[in-house]
Amino acid sequence: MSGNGPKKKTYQQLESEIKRLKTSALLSLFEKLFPPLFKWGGFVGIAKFSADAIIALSGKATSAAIDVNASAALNPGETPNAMEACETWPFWIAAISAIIATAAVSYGLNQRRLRRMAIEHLTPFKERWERSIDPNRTSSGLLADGSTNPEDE
Amino acid sequence: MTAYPVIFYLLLAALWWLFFWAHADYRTDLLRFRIFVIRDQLFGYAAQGKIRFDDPAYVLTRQLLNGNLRFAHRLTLSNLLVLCALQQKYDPDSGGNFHARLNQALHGLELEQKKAISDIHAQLHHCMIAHVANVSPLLFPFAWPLKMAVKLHWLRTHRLTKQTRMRMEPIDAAIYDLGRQRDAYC
Repeated sequence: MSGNGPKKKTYQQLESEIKRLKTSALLSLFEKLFPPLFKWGGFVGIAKFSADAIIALSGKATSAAIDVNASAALNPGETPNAMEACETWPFWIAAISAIIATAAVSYGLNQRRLRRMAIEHLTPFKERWERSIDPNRTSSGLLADGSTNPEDE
Repeated sequence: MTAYPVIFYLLLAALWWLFFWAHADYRTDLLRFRIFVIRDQLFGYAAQGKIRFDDPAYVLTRQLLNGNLRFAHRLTLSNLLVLCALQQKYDPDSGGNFHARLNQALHGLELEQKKAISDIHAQLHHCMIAHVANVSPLLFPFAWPLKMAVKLHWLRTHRLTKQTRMRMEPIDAAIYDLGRQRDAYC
């Protein structure tokens, strides 16, 4: 081979490259296994505790005590029509809270969608302007809307 | 009567989703936005003619920023701990090598240029630490008190980032390598 061909890597260079690749592969394996296990495992745990609680409480006398305590916590003070308040307050509080929470989450998700649409719309102009100044401009490799590239998941 | 525990666990599941999906996605987007701002700052500095676009320090910093942008979703406490453990075992010199490469790149620069590049690295580290603290369920409770301490000047960010700079080098080295794997010119 002539001297113009690609330069051969030394033993040390190859060794260090193998070490780097080994680290990268093991890290990638950990990232693919641990976070989903932890996240979905949380849901499984919650479902299990929820099922256990339902089984333990269904038809038992203890449920009455929980109800009384919860009502008492929501209606402090001794008013003459306390029983009436117990029946109406928790329902309305829960309903309004649920509506506000759902609306807030949906607002947040819609805002995120809008922001991604704005990024997708504006990014080409910025890229073109930057490339006119630096033709060798490097990219982050993200998608046009700024979200993670599926190849990097 | 069994409705209360069911509601409690449903709310717990909603909180779980909010933290590990919605909040984590938001923090990743916030981190990316902050890094884009830093990258624009670097680009602006070069566009003003204060540093060459092909200067090794500029190229290295840009690649580091690109790597961070690309892999921001993988920047979590558990991943960092595993990365550090793996690097200790398989590639203990990576941090030192990256430090040497950075120093070599900064060598020929003027003092003002060195200061600008170092400032960009410090800003990047600050963003990364804030992100990890906010997405980790273990560190999250301390994130707000720490932020308040910084806002009230009880803690100084530049001192914190200076202290963590050496510890960040192995992480920088890994992100730089990842960022270089597919350096898309487009």
